[in-house]
Amino acid sequence: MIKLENVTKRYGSFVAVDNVSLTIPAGGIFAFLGVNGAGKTTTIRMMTGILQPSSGSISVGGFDLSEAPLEAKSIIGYVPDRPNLYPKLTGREFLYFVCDLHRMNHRHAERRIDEVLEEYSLERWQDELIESYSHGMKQRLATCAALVHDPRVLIVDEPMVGLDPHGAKHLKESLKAYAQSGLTVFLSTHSLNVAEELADHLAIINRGSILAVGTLEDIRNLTGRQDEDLEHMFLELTAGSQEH
Amino acid sequence: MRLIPLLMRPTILGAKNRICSGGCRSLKEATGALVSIGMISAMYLTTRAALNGSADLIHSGALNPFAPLSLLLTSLFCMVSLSSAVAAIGSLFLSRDLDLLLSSPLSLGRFLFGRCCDVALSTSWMVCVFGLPSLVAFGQFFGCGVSFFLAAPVLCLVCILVAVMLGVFGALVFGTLVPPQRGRGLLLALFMLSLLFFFVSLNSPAVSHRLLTTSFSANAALLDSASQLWSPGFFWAYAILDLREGKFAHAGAILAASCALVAALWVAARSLASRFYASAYARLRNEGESLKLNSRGSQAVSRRVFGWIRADRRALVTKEYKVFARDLTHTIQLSMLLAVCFIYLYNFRALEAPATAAEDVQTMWHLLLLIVNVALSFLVIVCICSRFVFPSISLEGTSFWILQSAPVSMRNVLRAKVLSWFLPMSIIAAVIFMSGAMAIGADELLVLASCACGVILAYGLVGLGVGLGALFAHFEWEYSSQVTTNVGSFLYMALSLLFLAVNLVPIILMFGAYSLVPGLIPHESSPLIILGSGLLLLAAVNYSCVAASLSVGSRSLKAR
Repeated sequence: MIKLENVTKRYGSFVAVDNVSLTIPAGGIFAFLGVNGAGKTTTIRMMTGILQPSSGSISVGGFDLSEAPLEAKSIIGYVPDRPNLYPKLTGREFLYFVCDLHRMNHRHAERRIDEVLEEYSLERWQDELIESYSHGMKQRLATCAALVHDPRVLIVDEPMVGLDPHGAKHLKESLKAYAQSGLTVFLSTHSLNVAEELADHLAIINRGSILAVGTLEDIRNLTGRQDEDLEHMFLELTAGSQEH
Repeated sequence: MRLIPLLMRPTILGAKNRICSGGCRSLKEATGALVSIGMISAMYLTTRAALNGSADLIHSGALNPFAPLSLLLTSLFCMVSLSSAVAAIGSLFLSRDLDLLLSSPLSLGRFLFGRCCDVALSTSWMVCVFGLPSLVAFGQFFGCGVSFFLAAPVLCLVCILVAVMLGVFGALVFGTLVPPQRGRGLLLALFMLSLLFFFVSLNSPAVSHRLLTTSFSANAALLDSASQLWSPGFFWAYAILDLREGKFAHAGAILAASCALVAALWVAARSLASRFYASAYARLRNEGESLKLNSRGSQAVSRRVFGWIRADRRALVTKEYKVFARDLTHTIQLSMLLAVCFIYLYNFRALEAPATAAEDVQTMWHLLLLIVNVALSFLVIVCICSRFVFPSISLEGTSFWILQSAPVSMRNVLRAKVLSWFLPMSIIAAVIFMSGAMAIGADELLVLASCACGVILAYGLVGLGVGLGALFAHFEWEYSSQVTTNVGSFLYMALSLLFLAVNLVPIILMFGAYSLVPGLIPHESSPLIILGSGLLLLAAVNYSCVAASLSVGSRSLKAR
């Protein structure tokens, strides 16, 4: 469903993402792990068409992002790590805006908006300006916007940041349900327990390069620690790379 | 570093880092700096040329240099005051860093001082670009000594400080007295009342009689208005003229009085802030939370009104209008700029052709006035576009990722921006161009042609503004009015003047041919053919400019 081939992103002499290649199968949850500054968000921003890679190619659902960006973007739902939305729109107006950008039929749009607002418990605040929302509410609204057009791929960057325990639990259950219904979920996180609990496949990125890819079992085999949990394996693989 | 006020350091260090970072951004800054230098040189050369051209009149005493100097200083003072008021509302009440600053152990005095410096820095460039070069040219023309060149900039600096403090004080009064959510309504009500007053006074016999005099006396009245005692430019012009003659007593007194005024305004602002700022800021935050809107209703209206546009563009256009209408700083700026439009029209009505002149002189006079009307109206539209159209891309701010990740091309985003702004700007332009043409007594065809010129030029200016706004997009602003005071905005104004020069060629040909050729070739349809061809040529020029501008802008946004 998602394919990255030799993707590199440079900012001047600094290499943020270095020759990354990944193949993410359709359906299921793929967790993308790394310490702060490892290159997770840069990779995600390239996958959503926000940034252009310095070299390499990315395709989503068979559409190459450099050749058919609009087709690729139309099947992606993206939840960023910081939910910067339009503060002067109401929650519902923002969802109308997203539906219109995806050129959805207005009756279908109304129905989907009602569904996602109900699913994320935002009906009560739907007519209030986004500037009055809390961080968690903005995060939930961003998730609604990513789902409202029925995407085939959901890309979520650090989804648990700013969510209360109820919100976090609800999101985890929802992600599992979406994956079961056939949606491909690409989840970037540095919460290892979230990845361990949800992911079918995972990749560990460090200093812009992929260290390990596969199922949890594959990574255990790679590190040679059959009985270890993900936290120990992750710490071993990324040893000495934390920011201080 | 200790000398720089604490709150100014992020701005100054940010500018330093931008320049030192090199690459494309640095190139843009350098281009902006070069354009600024060009603009300053042009202001200097123009003033010198104007003074040299009027040398005989000035030396014979027929033209008093006091009046234009006073008018220039008054205009600059008003521009800086208005800009400062808008910037201060943003800086004191709406800035994103306020939560951080207000939760820091920072005294109110230091906070207010930092904000005043911020406002002064963002608005004082007008005086540097338009005022100082003219002042230097003035001093050189009159052969003034070194003391003039040392003292006059100090007077200008004090003039800026008075204007800035007045703006900051006005913003504090506004924020304290007017609940933010009602500010928009109140401003619109005040604006409508002013408009009513304007029309009543314009149509009153006394004023009409005074205005519809000959052009010379009307111009003299315009210039004299700045030399009245109540005019802010009067005192500084008086002081500068004294300096020209090497007299320091009056200049010193005026300088001291101006400094005292700055101090008094500072004390007043400080005491107002210490008593009311915290509650005004808290009220702003609370009132934002209680606002409920009818989202379904507004979407239904949008579908009905903009049903003819495809859904993705309609979404962008509707969003643009909603965000604009709900932003208080935009409403304030719009009210001020519409006031500028009416002041322009009010003054332009005074330029009536001399009734006793010969017919060919009258024809040439009308032709000149028609072209002047186009040029001045164009400048009014440039002012409005530089405040609203140019920053429209940057105002997407940190929410720009939504458009970047949406299935909409950047070119379509820019086209939607052009469409959003072309609709209101074409109406404003049509009204201003048409009213100007009617005020000078042009015939129906010329009024219609002027109106069409306005619409076409508005399209060109909006396209140029959107394209340049994309090229110089700056998404990391603290408050929205910051975007209008950056290098790109200045470059936009400078390029607009060049754009005006290009557009004036077909306009002069069109109006010139219309006024002169029909007498030579008496054919019924020749006036229509002349105006039609001229407008087509004008439309072609503007369309090409918009296409090129949007292409450059969309490439720049894609490469981000």
